[in-house]
Amino acid sequence: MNNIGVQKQPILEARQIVKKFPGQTALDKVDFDLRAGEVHALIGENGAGKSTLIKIIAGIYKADDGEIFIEGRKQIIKNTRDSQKLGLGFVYQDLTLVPNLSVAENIFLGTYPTNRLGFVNLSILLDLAKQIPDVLEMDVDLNKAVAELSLIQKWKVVINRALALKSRIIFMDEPTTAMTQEEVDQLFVSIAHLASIGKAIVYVSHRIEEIFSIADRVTVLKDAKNEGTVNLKDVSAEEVYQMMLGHSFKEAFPKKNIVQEDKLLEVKNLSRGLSVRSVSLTLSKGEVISITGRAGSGQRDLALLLFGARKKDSGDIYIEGKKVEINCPSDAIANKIALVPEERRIEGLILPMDVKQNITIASLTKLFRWKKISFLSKKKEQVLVHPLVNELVIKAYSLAQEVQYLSGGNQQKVVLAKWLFSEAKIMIFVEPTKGIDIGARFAIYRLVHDLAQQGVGVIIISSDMTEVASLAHRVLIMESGIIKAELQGDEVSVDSVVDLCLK
Amino acid sequence: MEWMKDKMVNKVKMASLDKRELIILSGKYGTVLILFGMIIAFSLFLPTFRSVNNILNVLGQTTMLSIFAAGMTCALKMGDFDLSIGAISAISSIIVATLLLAGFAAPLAISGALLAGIIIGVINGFFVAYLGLNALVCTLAIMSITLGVAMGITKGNSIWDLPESFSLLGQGDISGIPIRFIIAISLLFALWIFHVYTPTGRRMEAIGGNPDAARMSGINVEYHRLIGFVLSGFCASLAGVLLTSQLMTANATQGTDYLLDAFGASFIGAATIHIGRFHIWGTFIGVLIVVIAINGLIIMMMPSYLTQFIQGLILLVAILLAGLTGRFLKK
Repeated sequence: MNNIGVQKQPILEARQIVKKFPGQTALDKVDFDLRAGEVHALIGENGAGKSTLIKIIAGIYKADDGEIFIEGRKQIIKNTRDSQKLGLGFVYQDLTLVPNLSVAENIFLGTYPTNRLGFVNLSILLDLAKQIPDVLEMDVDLNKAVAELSLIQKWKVVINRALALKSRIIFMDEPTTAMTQEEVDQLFVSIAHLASIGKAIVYVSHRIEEIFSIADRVTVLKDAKNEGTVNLKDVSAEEVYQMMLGHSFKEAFPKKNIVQEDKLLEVKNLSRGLSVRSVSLTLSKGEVISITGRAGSGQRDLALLLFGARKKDSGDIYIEGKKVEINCPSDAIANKIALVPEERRIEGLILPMDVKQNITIASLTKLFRWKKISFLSKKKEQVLVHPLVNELVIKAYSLAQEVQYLSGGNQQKVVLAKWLFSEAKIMIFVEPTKGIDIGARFAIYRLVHDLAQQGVGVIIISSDMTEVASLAHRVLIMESGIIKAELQGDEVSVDSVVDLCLK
Repeated sequence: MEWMKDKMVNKVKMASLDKRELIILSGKYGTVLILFGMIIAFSLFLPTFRSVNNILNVLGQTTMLSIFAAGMTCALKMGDFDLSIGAISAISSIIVATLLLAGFAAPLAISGALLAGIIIGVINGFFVAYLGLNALVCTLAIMSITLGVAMGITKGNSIWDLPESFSLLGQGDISGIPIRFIIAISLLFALWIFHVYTPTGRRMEAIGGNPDAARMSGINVEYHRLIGFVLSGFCASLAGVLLTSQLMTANATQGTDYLLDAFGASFIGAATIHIGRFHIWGTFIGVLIVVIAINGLIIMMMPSYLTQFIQGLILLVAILLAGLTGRFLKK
């Protein structure tokens, strides 16, 4: 294997990049350099500017000031075709693949070879695929539809597409979010291989543990500025957290509160097909339970069942001792149950509506101008929503700003605000910090703690073991639709949880 | 005209807007600018346009189209198309006429006609929202069936000889302003208040923005979509009744010509101010643009086949403005 090693001269340099959006500065004179053969991590809080920087280099946004140099020569990148021609490849978390097309067709998407008449010739795609320089092995039939592939295979397809387009620099945005440990390992092998043959990799992630195992250098962005670029060999995880947050990691998790005696929720033999099989659990006031397990074990379906977003086949739900029927989300809401969904943009927010409208949408009766008469008071809306926005520190231009323009972390805060506004007694969170960076994560953890302190019962469905172990009083581990194990109190630790999940 | 352009440019300079913000503004208000441009141009160059007679004519045209388009906007808000409005208008026309001739008092006859609109709306809503059928195809089928029934009742004939008193709604006026215009404007106001200030209306807006998130926020999506169709049907039948009163004739084509223009006006509305969203006052601007454009063209003696061309052109320009602005906003 040809190991070129990391070059000294930067292959890409961004100097003094400035980008402003209405109401905020996304990048404030940011410098960034990248060397061929290195894996360079880019981390920072949500809103710190990572994705903005990448989008400017990709040609999706235009910088207000600053310059970009590729191999020492200044370049103007007006659109994504320019960046592609310069050898820049971008792989985003949403994996822009067409599910019903084959692997080969996806690799060459947009660049299908045509014959003289202009017709696409798909039969030679397989041969072309073999000829891609430094292509990654995928162990899969190239004619198979992409929808059938596993996550790691899909990532390899997208990386191969970047390679087919002759990319010398590959930007990866949060690749490991939904991956199993084995898949992460496979990905890192591929990344290391790409670096060893001279490609430059920019790796965006918020998982510091990962960055230490895969990257050579890390650049930390904080509040639109470059906080520093350091060699990972020379620095500790604590120091990197410090750079990113301004305070240390361990101190950031709130201490677990004391659980109350009163039982809030009792579930008996809840079932739905094969995904949830006769699940029983209890939840007390002020208790935080986490339901976790390998992907597809039924945790998500259980959460949706409790919220009425899926119909149960059998089983009973009792709230504060009384049996309730929950057949749709409005039943759940009426029983003071809330669900913060996994996909906030798809399930949690009405993107064209503004901040205050999104917050009040599940509790419109609270806005009645005159009691019992269905007429909304805009003034009441403003007055009631304001303190919540301040409490959660939702950064928006104003309450009238459409939520589609907010950053991911702030969007998640709006979803949380919606349910806090509904004064729910049972809050179910599904992957609450997915795709959200460190600073906003801890704001959410503090919120969970505060809720439990106030007597709210919290259920967290999560695949982040640190989160699970640090927040929950009890952890339930699911597999194939049943609860196979439970950990309580002192038994709960990252190691014990991971152990039981893998057994 | 130059001085007006200069005035605007100066105002803009004073507000120190940069190029980007200017483009966004022109996108949002483009249709309004087109409307005022047309009114000013026609007023200056076409004396007939300015005449009181013509203004009343325009108001009258605006009335009918507004009612159809407002109803359509209610369904379009949630992504539903209602192709049956023309047919609903026709059958309402026939129902009100038949009931009047059978001796029923006007309020009862009118209620019967409106009820028909509501019922057809419920049927549309049931098939599309609850059974999940494609709105375009389903309302098209309902349209066919309804027209068929209408034809069957009238056997192609028109119903004349309606009681004189009935003409009050469609032809009467209060100090010069046509009663039907007042009804139309009141309807628009009522619908606007409904959408902005009632929980049901707010929920419909939410569904229009994201039906999945709306459902996960406890909104009964099916029910609200059905209401959208009911409102659309109601407005169509109201329009049918007013047309019958205005023309003192009922037949199976009463109101069927308004379908395309109602769509056009609603889409122009979706390119106005709140880009990408259907809303009542935007639709009203759309109605004005369509009506005034055609009115001006007729005065200019443009051949009738060209009017359709111009209608389409206006719609295209409106959508282009909205589309370009939308993309620019995202950068």
